Amino acid sequence: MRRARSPLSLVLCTLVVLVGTGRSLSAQRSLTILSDTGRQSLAVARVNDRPMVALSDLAAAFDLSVREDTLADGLTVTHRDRVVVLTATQGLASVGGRVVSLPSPPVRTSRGWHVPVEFISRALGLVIDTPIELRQRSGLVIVGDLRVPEIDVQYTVGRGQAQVVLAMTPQAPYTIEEGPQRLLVKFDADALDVVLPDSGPDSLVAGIRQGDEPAWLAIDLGSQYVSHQSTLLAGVGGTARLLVDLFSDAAPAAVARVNERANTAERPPPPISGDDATPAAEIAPPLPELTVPITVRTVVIDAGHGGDDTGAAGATGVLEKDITLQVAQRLQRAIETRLGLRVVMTRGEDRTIRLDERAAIANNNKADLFISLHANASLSPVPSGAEVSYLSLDEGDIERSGARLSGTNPQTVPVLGGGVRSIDVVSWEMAQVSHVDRSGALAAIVDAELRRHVDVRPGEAQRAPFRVLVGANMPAVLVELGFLSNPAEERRLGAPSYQEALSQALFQSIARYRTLVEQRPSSAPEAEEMPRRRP
Amino acid sequence: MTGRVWLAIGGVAVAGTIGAWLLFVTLPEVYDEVDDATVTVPRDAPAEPPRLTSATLFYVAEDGERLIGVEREVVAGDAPIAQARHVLEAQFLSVEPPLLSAMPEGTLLRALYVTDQGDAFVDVSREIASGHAGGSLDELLTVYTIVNAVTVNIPTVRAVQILIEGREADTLAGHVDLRRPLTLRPEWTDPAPADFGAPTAP
Repeated sequence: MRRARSPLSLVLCTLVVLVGTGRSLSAQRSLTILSDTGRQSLAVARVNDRPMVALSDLAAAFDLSVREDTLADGLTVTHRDRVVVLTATQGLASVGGRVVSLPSPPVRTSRGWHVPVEFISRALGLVIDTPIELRQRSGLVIVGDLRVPEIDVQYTVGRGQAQVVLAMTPQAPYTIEEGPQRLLVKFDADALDVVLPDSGPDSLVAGIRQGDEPAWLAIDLGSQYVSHQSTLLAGVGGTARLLVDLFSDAAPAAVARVNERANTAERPPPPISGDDATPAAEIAPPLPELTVPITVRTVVIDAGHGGDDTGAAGATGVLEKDITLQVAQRLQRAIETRLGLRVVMTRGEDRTIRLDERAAIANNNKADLFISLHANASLSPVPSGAEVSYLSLDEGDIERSGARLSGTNPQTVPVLGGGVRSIDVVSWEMAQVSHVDRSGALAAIVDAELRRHVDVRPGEAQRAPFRVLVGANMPAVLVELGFLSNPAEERRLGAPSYQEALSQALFQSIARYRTLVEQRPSSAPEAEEMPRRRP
Repeated sequence: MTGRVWLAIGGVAVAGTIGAWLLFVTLPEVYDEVDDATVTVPRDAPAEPPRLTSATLFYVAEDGERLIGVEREVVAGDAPIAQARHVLEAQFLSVEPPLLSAMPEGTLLRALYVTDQGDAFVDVSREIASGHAGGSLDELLTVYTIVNAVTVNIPTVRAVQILIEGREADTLAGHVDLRRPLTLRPEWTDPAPADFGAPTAP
């Protein structure tokens, strides 16, 4: 079979593969064949609205011979002594007597016979007796036992600081080299299966692209770049995340101020105006210390109010219940797709739900974080800005919980296999008491991230006796997204771009919190001392 | 016999006349003289003005961010519970700008109880919830208007629980936990009392 490929299609294919922005296969115009002999482009055509490849191209790439059998109304594809039989009327292929299914039968076009791209992974590997893996999201055809880790690149930028997160599956050894105007992340791999973010250039990062070598990733640096630091976080199942933080020239002084503030443990005065907002507020403060070990697998997002309970309303009719749901859904998508965590929504639509039920959903799903979203209101149109709160406790709350937490009211329960075990029991009313410190740590992170992304109220994270937080048996915060009573902020809150900024701030908060707790591994004795809620 | 009868009838008539004169003429004059001697104001004069005392009431500052304490004259009560009632009745009156009241319009004080442990239960009408515009800040300011007013002015009260129409309530508008007594919190209150004009009656 003759290889049919125009020079223009070759150029286009190469460009698409190099850019590799993670489009689905249906949107791609080529595949890239990776093997120990190098890489090769393979054109993809849309036939009957389905991605297909020309058998002639496959024959050239894999040393196949194709013969049309008009009597049998089929095709035979041969590689050495192995044969694949395709019929023109059925989505089936017979490989040495073994039948594999295909999404559609082969189709004849002006360029000859075409087969579905799935033919490559389902049938071709059996014919050439070599494993073939089709990575549909990046359009890679990996032939043989090559090391091609999946790298999902996420990029977020704030004022004076940016972060590139490389999520690796599986984890691959790497080195980072700083060259003129770029950082090179060199992976010890044969190639990379990269999905790059759709982000434009800014003052810290001019672009992120694949490097000059197949396993290199290049971060082109912007004019404001000064320094960077990297952190590798091992994940579950052999995955890992490489965090590359990039700083502008304004950042070091701000970092020093933040550290000084943390060391002196003084509460800084609230900024008087936007001009007085210190750079310290623009970057993330050092992570607060935690003493109780935890991890983050499940996040519950609570969209405040809903149904008959509209919550606060703006002058033009923007409702709190709608804003909270819209931001919650954006946050849900971000967490699920970028962090891979399980997200449970207390409500996914406009319906009434009791406060007790919201905490119960979190408890019953064994959530590790509880984020309640609200929009604020004031009698005055002046107040504006987002804000985060965690639960405040009165003396009575502490007294009521004290005996339980100290173990003076233990309950004995039978355990599987015989015997009994003594556990401390905390009522749902007091569930949050034992998590207040961690809720405070989470609130501090959320406060810092909100400051990086959106307008915030003066002051730090506050403590308040908010009802929805009381029963949550995990770190929990309530986030006020902004003031609907402020006309300008009401307009902002309804804008998708501002909702995305809020969602980004919360997403970054959760990612940083997870980093925090995973860097402080658990110890069994402390875990055993954790109180348990009443079922 | 006939003479004795007439003599008895005459005696009774004389005694009745004397009794009626004493009952309807002499005694009222005596009582009138006593009243005149003890009451120093004319009968049609207004009642004695109530005794007043100074109290700190709480209103939303002009910027809407927090409460400010304002010194006011309120009716003095003989006991802490009576004093707390007078303070709250004054607190629930409307005010003139630039002050704003965090109490929803129409909210009335229904009852007030104080336990020996220093917990006050303030029972208010349903307008405090049904008339609330929502928003956690506004709700915090409404709740702590009541908590501050009672705990600041009545030293024997350490915590306040708000009841609505005689029943325990979850929240006013979905945020602040009202199921237990709340103590004084400085976060939402400007520490310096302000000086503004007197509140007006609704």
